[in-house]
Amino acid sequence: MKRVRFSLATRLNVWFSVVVVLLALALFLIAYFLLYRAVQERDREVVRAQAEIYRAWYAEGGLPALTSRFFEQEGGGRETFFLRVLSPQRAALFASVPKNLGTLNVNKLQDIMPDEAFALAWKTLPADEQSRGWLIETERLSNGGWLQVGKTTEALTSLLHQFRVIFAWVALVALSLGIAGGAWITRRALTPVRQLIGTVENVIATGRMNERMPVHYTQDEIGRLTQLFNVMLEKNETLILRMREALDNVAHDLRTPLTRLRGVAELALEGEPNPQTCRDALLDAMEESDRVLTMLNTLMDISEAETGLMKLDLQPVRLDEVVRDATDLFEFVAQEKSIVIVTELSPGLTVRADRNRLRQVLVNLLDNAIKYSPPGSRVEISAEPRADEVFITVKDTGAGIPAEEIPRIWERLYRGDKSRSQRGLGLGLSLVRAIIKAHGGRMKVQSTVGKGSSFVIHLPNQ
Amino acid sequence: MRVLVVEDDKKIASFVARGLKEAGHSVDMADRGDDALNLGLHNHYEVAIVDLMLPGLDGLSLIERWRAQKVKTPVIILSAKRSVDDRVKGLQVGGDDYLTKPFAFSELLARIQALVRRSSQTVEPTTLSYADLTLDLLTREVQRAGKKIELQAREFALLEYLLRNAGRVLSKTTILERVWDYNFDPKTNVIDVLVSRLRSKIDRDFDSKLIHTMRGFGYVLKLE
Repeated sequence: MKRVRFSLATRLNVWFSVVVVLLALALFLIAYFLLYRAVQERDREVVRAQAEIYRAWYAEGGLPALTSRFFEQEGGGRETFFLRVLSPQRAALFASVPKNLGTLNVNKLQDIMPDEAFALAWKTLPADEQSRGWLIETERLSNGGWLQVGKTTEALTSLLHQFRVIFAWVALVALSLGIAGGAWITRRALTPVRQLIGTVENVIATGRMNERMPVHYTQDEIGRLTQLFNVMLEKNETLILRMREALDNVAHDLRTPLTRLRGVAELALEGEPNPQTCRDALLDAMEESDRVLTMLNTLMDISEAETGLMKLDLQPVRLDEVVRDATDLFEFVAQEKSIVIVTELSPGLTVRADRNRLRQVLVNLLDNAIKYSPPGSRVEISAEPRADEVFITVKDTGAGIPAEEIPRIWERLYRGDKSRSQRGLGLGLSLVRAIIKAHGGRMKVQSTVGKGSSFVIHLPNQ
Repeated sequence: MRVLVVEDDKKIASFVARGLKEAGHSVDMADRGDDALNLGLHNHYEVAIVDLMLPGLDGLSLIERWRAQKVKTPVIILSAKRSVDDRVKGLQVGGDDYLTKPFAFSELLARIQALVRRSSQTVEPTTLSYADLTLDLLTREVQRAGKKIELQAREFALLEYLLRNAGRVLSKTTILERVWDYNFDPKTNVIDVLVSRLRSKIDRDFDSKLIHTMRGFGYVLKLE
């Protein structure tokens, strides 16, 4: 795999990882915030409860009672809490900082001085080099003074720190597992795509159209793609084979008349130069080359129709009109042979077809019918709708076709015993069948030797 | 008449030029599309014959460029492509007629004359005549040496076509196209039959024969 950096798998994986990281980060932020809130609330609860106690003591006996009880060994809180009592004029009457919890920067005390509007209820002093962080509550005392109770935020800080460390590790592990898993999944999912690429590269490199992809999964999109791709390869292969075959056939079919052409010229050049012989030979050569041209054009038409390359201008065609065109063309030819052409059409019958091509088909069939019918006989053209098809029948009362020849009459350049003596290329019926097939229809023939033949065109009803 | 032949195949070009000169036209030749463009822009030709596959500038673009520059010379396209699409494309860009290779020189000549007649807007005659034969297009009467001849519609159409091109050989394909409006060759003998019928009416009772079969070419109306 070249250019891995830009491969689909890599891109999918990068996107996948980015999404995982962003999601994890969002989750972390939410969890962090909630945890912070919960622990802080708990700390506040503790501080509030302690402040309640101090207030009660103050109410019992003023500042002396509060201080003496504050310093009591059990439950006084001296070891845990910061306590400051301010006069109504905001002069410090008492202040204590637990000594084993380090110092409280004196300058910072300025920050927690209550203001007139008593806006300060909770205040957090952030930690710095000299002191820890503190959470401090300020309350108004009944005499207008102030009571300030605080607790270090040590527990909160260390908890959050631990949380961050743990999360970082978890995230790291999750991310690496995610990337590895993602890589594995995308790789696995894209295996058929890589196989597809490999197959196509092979087809392009070797020109062999018979490569196919293994189909493992038939349910998902990739499986469907693989199947469709195989179908496409199949179709291309058939088309190319058919075209090659058609080309071979055309080449083969042209060799005979070209050989004849050359023979004519060679014969004329042999012996003494004679203007009359040369003239005859040139005329022969010209006729022969016209034959080659007609043959080539007809063979091309047949090949195009058979391979589905023939362009059909499909539109509703009135059958009575095409049949009239065709019979019109043969009016005099039939008269010369005293053959009567009878048409029997359901009125207003139309088919979806290429008008010109359909006319060509009818002309070919009619030409055959007249050619092989004895003087004084009848040729009938009839058309009728049947369920989902339209039948067009050209029936003659001519020589008929022997049963063993019937399967072969559609072959290109095949000429039956009777046909050999007549003019023609042996391509008419092949062209007829190819054109009808290109229209999605079929040709049927029934024939009895000595009684005549009927050729039936089955065209799909629009 | 001055004719421009644009064709890169030397043999075809010289065969066309020789034929045109023999028919009394003066011929200029170009074997490249861009050369032809200049010739057409700076000279006045009555007709141009243009091949489609050309070096320098292809035939379709050449015609398009001429038409864009208001060159109104009628153009006959010569091409080896025979599909209807190709014909349509050729006529759409401004070609006036389309002839597929290989072609009969007599047909090319007939088409040139038809084009010139059309573009010079000659008044259509109402009667056509040749030797002692006359055909009235309005009353649809045909007479030979003063003797009235009854013709059927197809016979009349064929005779009219032969008369319009008297002295020129007409191929079976073009007859089929003009008289029946069939643009494919069904390889039938219908034309031979029609011609022999016409002959029996026009020529049988007269000493000098007018309709002649030219083996390998087609038919011609002329006095021997």
